[in-house]
Amino acid sequence: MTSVKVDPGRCTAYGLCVGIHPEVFNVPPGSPIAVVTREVLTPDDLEDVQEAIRACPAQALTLVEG
Amino acid sequence: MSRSDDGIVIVGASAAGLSAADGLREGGYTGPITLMDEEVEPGYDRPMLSKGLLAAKDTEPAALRTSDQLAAKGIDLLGGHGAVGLDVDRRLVVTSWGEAIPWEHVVLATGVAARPLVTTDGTPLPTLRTRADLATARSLAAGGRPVTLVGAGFIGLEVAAALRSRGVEVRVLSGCELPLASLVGDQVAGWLHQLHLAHGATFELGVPTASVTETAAGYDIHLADGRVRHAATVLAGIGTDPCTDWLIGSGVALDGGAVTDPAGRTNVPGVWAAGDVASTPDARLGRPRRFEHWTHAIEQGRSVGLNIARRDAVPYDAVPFVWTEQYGYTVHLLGERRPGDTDVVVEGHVTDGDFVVAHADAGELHGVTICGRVRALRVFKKLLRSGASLDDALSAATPA
Ligand SMILES: Cc1cc2nc3c(=O)[nH]c(=O)nc-3n(C[C@H](O)[C@H](O)[C@H](O)COP(=O)(O)OP(=O)(O)OC[C@H]3O[C@@H](n4cnc5c(N)ncnc54)[C@H](O)[C@@H]3O)c2cc1C
Ligand code: SF4
Repeated sequence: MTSVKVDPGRCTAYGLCVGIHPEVFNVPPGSPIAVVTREVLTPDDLEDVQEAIRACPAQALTLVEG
Repeated sequence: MSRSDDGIVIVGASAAGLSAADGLREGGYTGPITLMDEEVEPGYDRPMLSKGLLAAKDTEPAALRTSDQLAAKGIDLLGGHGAVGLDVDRRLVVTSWGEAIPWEHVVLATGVAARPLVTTDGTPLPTLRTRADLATARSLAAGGRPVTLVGAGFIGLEVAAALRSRGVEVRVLSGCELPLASLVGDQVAGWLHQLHLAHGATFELGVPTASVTETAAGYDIHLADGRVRHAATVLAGIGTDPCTDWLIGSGVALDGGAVTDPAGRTNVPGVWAAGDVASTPDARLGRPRRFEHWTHAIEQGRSVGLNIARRDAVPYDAVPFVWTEQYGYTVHLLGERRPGDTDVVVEGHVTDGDFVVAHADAGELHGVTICGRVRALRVFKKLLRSGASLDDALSAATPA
C-alpha cells in the first residue's frame, strides 16, 4: 500500500501539487497546508504524485510505503 | 583515460540543476556531484516572486533544498561560484574565483536572465527574476508612487495584480493588442484583461516602447508612435535571454540557448543542458526553442540526470504545463495553443472564471486553458498525452 504525506512544517499551501494531481491533493479554503484526499494511491496515481513530489517547491511531500 | 573520478558538475542550482542532481542519484549514480551557482543562496521558489511574495511585505523566498537534504544525497553545493568558461577539450569548468573544476559530464542549467530595459543614460531599469530583484520590486511597491510596467507577459501581469493588491497605482504598457491572447485565446485573455481593469490597473496597448529617458521626476517613456508617457517608477518585463555568455566560443552550439537533442545532449559529448537555458529543436517551427516553465525545468532536469546515470538517451517529451495567478484566480495551461487555433469553451463560462477552453485546429487538439476546474486538469492532461482530438475533449467535458 502506497500513500503520500504532507509535511505540515514545510508546506506553504500554494497548491502546485493540486494542479498536478487534483484528485489526491487539495488546499481547502483557509487551510494552512495541502491535504491528501486519497488515502491509498492507485497505480494510475503514482506517476503524477511523483511529479508533484518533485515539483513541490517546499519539498513537503513524501511517499510512504506499507 | 577514464575520467569517472572527476564526477559530474552541474552549473546552476535552481529548479533544473537540483532536479538533475536528484535524477543522477535516483538513476543510481554514486560518484561525486558538484552543483555551482553564482548566487550565494541559490535555489528558491522563483514563481512565487511575482505572486504571493511581491504581495507580501517581508516573507523570504522558500529554499528549494535544505543543506541537510543536499548532504544526505552527497551533493556538494558551491554558492557564489559563477561559471565563466567551459573547456570541452580538457573537460573543465572555469569559475569566477579562477578555479578549474574537472568533470566527466557537465549539465548546463544556468536558466535565463530578465532582458534588460536600459535608459538612454545607460541605467538598467528594475526587472523581476531573482531574490535581489524582489527586494527592489518591494521597495517600489512600498514607495507609494505609481508603477509603470513595460511588458504584459505572465510576469508583467502577475506583478500588476500583486501591486494592485497592495494598493499601488499600476499602468501597463505593451506592444500587444491583448495581453496573453496568443497563449490562451481571445476570450480568456479578454476576461483576464477585464479582471485587471476591474481591479483598477490601467493599460496602454498596441504600441511598443521605443526608449526610456531619465527626467527629474522619474522617466519619460517614448512610445513607438511618438507619444511620451511620464512615469515615476518603472519595472520591465520584456522577456528573457539565455545565460549562455560564458559558453561563447566553447564549442557548445548556441541558438536561442544551449541547443540539445530531445534527450538533453548538446553537440559536445558529455555536455548536457536542461531547464530554461536549453533550446530544443522544434520540428513545427523549424528551429530550436526554449521552454521556460517550472515543472518543465524540474522534469527535464531529472530526465537528464537519469540519462547520465543510466548511460541512456531517453527523450523528454511531457505535455507542457504552465500556470499563472492573478487576483486569486489560478489559470492552468496544458499543451500549447498554436497561431490560428480556434478556442472552444468545453466547460463552464469564461466570464465566471470557471472554465475549460480547448485550443484546436481542424479537430486536432493542441492545448487547453483551465480555471477553477481543477478536476479537469488530469482529464485533459491525459487526453493531450494520448494525442486526442477536439471531439475527444468535447466528450470528456462536463459542460455545466
Ligand atoms: C517572477 C517569475 C515568475 C514565474 N512564474 C512561473 C509560473 O507561475 N509557472 C511556471 O511554470 N513558471 C514560472 N516561472 C518560470 C520558472 O521560474 C522557470 O522556468 C524556472 O525557474 C527555470 O528553472 P531553471 O533551473 O532552468 O533556471 P533558473 O531558475 O533561472 O536558475 C538558473 C540558475 O543558474 C544560475 N546561473 C546563471 N548563470 C550562471 C553562471 N554563469 N554560473 C553559475 N550559475 C549561474 C542562476 O543564479 C540561477 O540560480 C516564473 C519565473 C519568474 C522569474
Ligand atoms: S506543492 Fe508542496 S508546498 Fe505547495 S501545497 Fe503542495 S505540498 Fe504544499
